[in-house]
Amino acid sequence: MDERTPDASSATAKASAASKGAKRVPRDNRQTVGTARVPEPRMRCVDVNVYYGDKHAINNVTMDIGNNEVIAMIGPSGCGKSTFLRCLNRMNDTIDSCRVTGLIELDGRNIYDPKVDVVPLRAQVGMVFQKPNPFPKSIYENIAYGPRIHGLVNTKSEMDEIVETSLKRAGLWNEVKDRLDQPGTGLSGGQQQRLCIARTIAVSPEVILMDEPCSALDPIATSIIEDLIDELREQFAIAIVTHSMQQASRVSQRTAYFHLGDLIEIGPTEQIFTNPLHELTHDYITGRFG
Amino acid sequence: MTAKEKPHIVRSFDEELESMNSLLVSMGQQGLQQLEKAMQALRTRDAELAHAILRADDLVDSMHAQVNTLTVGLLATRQPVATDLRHVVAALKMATDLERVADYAASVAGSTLALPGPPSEGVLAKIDALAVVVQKLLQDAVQALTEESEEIAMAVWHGDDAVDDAYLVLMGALHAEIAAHPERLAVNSQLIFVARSLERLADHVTNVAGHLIYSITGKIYKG
Repeated sequence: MDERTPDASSATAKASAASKGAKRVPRDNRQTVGTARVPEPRMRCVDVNVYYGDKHAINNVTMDIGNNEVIAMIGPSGCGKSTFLRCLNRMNDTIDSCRVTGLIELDGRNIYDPKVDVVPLRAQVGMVFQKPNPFPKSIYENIAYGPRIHGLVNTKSEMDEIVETSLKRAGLWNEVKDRLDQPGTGLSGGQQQRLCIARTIAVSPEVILMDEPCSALDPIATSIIEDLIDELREQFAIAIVTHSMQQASRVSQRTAYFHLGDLIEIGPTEQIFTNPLHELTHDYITGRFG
Repeated sequence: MTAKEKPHIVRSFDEELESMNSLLVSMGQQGLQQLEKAMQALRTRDAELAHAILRADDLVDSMHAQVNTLTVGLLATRQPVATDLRHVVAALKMATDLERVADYAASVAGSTLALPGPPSEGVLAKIDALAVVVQKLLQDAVQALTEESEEIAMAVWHGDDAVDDAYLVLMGALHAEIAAHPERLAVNSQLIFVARSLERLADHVTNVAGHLIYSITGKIYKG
């Protein structure tokens, strides 16, 4: 006779575990569910609100970005995920009507403190955009520009080393090492995006923000970028906004689901994609009518 | 396993999931029918019926193959996640267990054909008692599948204890009869195979319930 042993330790635990698993948080409950905080985060966001004029675009979002993790932000168009991402290096400062409240810390320092200079902040928290946007300069100059304006190098040989190291870390060195003087805009889409990643990491950031970095790329170029993201995670914290749930599930360790400006659910990616806690998350990721 | 969820935006996805669910329910119903007939063949020592059961096993095998094809196709083309992923993965496993259910019903039919004489009334009554419990368990599992009911599936999961009790009573009776009537050893040896088949069949039924609970709740239950 087989001994039938469920994972839970007792029959009571079994029954209650099973019945709990069947229930999801209902749609009208907009409190964040899951685990928003991590120990020793790289970035900490507390009660973040974003307004565009009268429009309340982000509603009391609290979440951490951990060290050496990729966190994916998913949600339907207009849910606020890109708006939230842009708060993390004060890119929204460039929009006059935009107002950000709450606390966003990088290594325990409030990035919205008036004393913070956004230029070095944006080097510490770099950004890669949806459409590759290399400077209309040579491949070499695309990488060298950042370290030069941030005063990170003193000699040509130091600059050569940064250019080579950055291109190697972005997986582009072997493809471009013999044509560093040619325009970055002459590369393929996937190569241009890796050039932009190399440009971002050349200034030794702590966090890399990526806003739909593969949406303009074919599957091969996408795979190369995803593989690169996995490697970069060893040195940086990465927050990626993506419309591709398969991409979120492939590259991230944690996933955050946004809906109409609310952070609905955040947790381990595997859990989000096998057993989400919130009805809204479930309906979105399974492609059901919302 | 989509009845309780909202429909997908892509309707053909729902249709494929429905086909998968229907096939599973059909496999369960076919297994139940095979078991009922196998018990009838044993009671009446009906060789023709027993042969028919053995032949009908091909139908369940073919449904099993269809579920395999459908689920692999769903995984490849729909890349299901969350409840959908659990439903598809659980379906793949349930189909395997339901195929084994039908196999054990066929084993009972095979033992019937191999019986060198009639079982004693006392032993037959205890085989019947075990079969009633097993049939009820399978019936409930099919109902749980049809209704996607976590509650019924949980009851099936815990129902294996009643099978074990009836099995032990039957084995006790068989051992006693073998000791008291050594001349009936050949008959009772075949009946030990029948008892074992029924007990193993019930194990696969509870596996189905465990997979169904996983499909509905995401909690893993191991057999």
